[in-house]
Amino acid sequence: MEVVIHVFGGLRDYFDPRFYIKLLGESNIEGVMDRLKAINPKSTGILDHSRIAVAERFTSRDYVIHEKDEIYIMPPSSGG
Amino acid sequence: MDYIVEEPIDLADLLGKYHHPKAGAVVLFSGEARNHHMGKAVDFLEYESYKPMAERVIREIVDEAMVRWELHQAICIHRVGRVDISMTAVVVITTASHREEAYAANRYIIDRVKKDVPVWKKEHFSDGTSEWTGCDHCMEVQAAQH
Repeated sequence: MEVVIHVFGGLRDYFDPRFYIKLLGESNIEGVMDRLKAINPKSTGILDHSRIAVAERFTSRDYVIHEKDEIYIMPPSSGG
Repeated sequence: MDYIVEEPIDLADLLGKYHHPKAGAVVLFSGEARNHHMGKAVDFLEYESYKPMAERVIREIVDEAMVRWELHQAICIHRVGRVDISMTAVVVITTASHREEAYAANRYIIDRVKKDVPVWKKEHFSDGTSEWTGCDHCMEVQAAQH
């Protein structure tokens, strides 16, 4: 299945703001993060410190991804 | 009420709305764009957010502070997009019966907003470079890897 990934802040130095990746079989968030690190190894540090949300709720890295899920990857906040 | 806005924040106009007959104290914090960062001259800041979650998280923080410090009113508004030097990027107003509660709640709200709300800041330096901030440790990890 294809899932939509959204990234913010410093992750936009490494990825487009919104893009698709194709998953073969069941995958959790951690699996997606590993894929992204493989695509761009320089993003590893920031990915390791990012929070993840699905359906506008923060979720854990063992969350199993479902068809039509959109995954939001958010680096540490830096508002104010 | 929008907690995330693109247009400039008018502090005087906003403050005018935050007076309460039971309040003996009104505290306003304005987080403003400064012209330097880590020794480099800054031309302007740029903020982005994940708005649906940012709005909800700010509302939850403000609601929690209202109860915890028995505030009469509280608001936090964060701006996104380009913010020029000396302009307000974020404002927090708290009104309470006494100053201790108004100060404490205001400090709590801004600290939580900076840490928990999905908003990101990019410094645009005078030398033409730019940098997302907020994850110094991430950069240390990356430097160690390369």
